[in-house]
Amino acid sequence: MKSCQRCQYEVGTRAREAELPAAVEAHLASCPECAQFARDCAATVAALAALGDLQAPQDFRVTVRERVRRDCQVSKRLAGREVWHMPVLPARQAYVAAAALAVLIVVLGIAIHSLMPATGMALGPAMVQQPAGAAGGGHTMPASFVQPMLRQHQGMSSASPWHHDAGYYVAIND
Amino acid sequence: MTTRVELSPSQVQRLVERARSGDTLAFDELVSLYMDKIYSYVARMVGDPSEAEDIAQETFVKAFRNIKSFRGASSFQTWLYRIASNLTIDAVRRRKRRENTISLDAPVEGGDAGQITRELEDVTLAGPSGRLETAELQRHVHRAIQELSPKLRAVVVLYELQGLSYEEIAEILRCPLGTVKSRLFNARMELKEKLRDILAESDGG
Repeated sequence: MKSCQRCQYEVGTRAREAELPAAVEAHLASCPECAQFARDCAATVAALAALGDLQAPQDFRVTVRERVRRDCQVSKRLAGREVWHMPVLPARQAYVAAAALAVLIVVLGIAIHSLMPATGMALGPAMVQQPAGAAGGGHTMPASFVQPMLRQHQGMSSASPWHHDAGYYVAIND
Repeated sequence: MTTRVELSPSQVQRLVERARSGDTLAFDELVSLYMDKIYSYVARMVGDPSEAEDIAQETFVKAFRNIKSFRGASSFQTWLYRIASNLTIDAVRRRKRRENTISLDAPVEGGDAGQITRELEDVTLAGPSGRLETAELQRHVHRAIQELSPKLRAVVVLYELQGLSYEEIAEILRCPLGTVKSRLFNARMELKEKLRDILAESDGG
């Protein structure tokens, strides 16, 4: 059985015009099954060879010439001007770049937010700043919330710690 | 039938050198030299004459575009076959994806004539034949080749029909020599089974 397999592989991969090894020839002479296999292989190869060569269509050469000429013209046009290409990152690098960009945005956001009270950017006419000595001092709160408390306070004491100036309530004592 | 003049390797090399320097006339000579071989290979691979023509033309256009990168490590013919092989295998894969949605053996509507059967093989691919039974056998062989997987088909076409050596095929398909031999063995075995009946019939008749 092993020698049949070996024989059939030798026959099936036989190179063109190559001699089969003597051991394979001897096996073929004594094994009808392998001999039939060899005949079938030979018939198959002959049938393939009978297909013959095909010829390219008549206008093939002219069409290729035309396509090559067009290709040359396009290449010359492209060579005449500078062509810019967007750099294309591999997928892994693109993910890393996107993550770095996201982190940068978050860090910048935190930094800007922490700087806002120091610059006074958020203070407006409708907001008041509590005196630094008061509970929660240094914070701002809406004027509509502060004004009723101030009126009540002014009714009890004339020495108000709050001074209204151009729409802002600011502390006048420490 | 036109006869092509065979050129010596040194003459081909000179044409390649001229083509590398942009000489389109030299490249035209190279096209003339190899167009039948490349067209024949592609046509046997894809089975459709018009698609084969387009792919074979694209092979030469691509070769001209990239000829400066051809360093002569392999022969110019091997290099051309490699380009053709890559384009062909891509085309076969694309078509296979399309065929997953349309069965090629399924009957299609044919207008007033009613239904016609979709024919896979084209008579122009059967090659020159003098007798009807030869043409019939050739159609069967052609169909059997088309039924092989692209890898087996490439090896059997390059070896049995194009007459290339194992070494050349290994270079074209960029695979070891042993792989070429085993693919050829498998292809021959598949074809032997597919053609068993028709060969027995033609042998008996």
